[in-house]
Amino acid sequence: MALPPNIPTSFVPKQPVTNHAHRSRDVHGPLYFGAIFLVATSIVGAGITFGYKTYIETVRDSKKAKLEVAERNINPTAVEDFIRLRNRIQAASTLLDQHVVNSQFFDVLESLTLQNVRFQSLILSVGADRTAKIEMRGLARSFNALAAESAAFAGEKRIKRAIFSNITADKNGVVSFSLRAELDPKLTTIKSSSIKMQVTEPNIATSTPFAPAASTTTKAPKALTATTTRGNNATASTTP
Amino acid sequence: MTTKLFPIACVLIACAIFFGYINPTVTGAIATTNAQIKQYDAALSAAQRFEQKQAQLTTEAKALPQDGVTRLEAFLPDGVDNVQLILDLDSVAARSGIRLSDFVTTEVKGGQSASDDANGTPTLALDNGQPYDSLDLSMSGTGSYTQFRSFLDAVETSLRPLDLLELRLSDASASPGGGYRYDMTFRLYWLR
Repeated sequence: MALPPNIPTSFVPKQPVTNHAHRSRDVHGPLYFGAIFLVATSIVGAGITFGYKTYIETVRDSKKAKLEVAERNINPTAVEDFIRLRNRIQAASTLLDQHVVNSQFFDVLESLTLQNVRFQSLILSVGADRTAKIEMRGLARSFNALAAESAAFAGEKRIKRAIFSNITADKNGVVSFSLRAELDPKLTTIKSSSIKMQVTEPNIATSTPFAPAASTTTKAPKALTATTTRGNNATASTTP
Repeated sequence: MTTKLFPIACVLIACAIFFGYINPTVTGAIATTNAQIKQYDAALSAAQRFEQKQAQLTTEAKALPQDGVTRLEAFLPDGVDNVQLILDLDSVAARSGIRLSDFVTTEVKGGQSASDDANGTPTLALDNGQPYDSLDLSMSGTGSYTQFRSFLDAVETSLRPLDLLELRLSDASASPGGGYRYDMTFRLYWLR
């Protein structure tokens, strides 16, 4: 049975009704939503970070696998063979350019030695720069012959600083002497030699280390037995 | 009270997420992984270039005449093999009529022979970093000048390069064989 509206339901006096909606507006203000936004952003950021990390780890693993495959395709033996072949070609080129060919000097010496002059000894030393020093002892029939020999050496530009010394004459007029000189690298290396062409000919050298060249010719022993027609007073040479 | 603490708790949670996970992950694991990826990229690029170069070199190597490669290997062998060389030299000398003896080998270190003395004897200085080594081989021989020239020509035109760095020629007419005595020092080379 419903109570009439004018009958109080309680003897306790009622408090005035407060506006709860107003308090709720204060709590859910900008700070509240800002905090939620902050948390949401950080959670999304963490998710993105996790996703990106997973993605690049996948990419890294993929590249690593490709690299391992590429490494397996590398043949170390082939690489070493290539390196050795390159080194061999470069070194061979260097050695060939610096190759000492003293036979050129002997050819020149044979052409310069007068018939009345003979050499008794020779010391030849080739230096690092392929210049060479020679020391020789010899005999000349006369001072004139020695002078002509000196002039002959002076006329050869590839023989430098040719100095005749220790010149003494015996009672028979035979003049002994010493000769010191320096040789131009053109006279000692293969660069200016015709032998270079011979060496590069395929049919000259064989697979054996010492295959004599087919074109090698034995020349007359002019220098140390002294035979040319240069100079005056040419006489028969005296062999040692 | 709970509602007042909520924003503070949110800020703390956000900070914890950022400083506890995002920042360490970005500056740590992700940065490391990116660096690794860059390294792998560089390595893969190099591997690709290597494969191309290898293919190119293989083609060029196949184009080289095998005979030329064989001759090149004889020109600059992989080892010194000086005993065989001495035998070959002796054979060449015998064909020329020269009698060889007193074979002595001297290792060349830093461009100078170990036996070089201080009297200024010129020696061949090899460039550092060259891919070959060298050895000095000294010997004596007797014979006529003609025979010596024949021997020298054969040695100079041999496939294996032998540089005659020192020669002492002296009269040996008093000796039983006569002719001249030749004290020679050759330098020979091989690939390291």
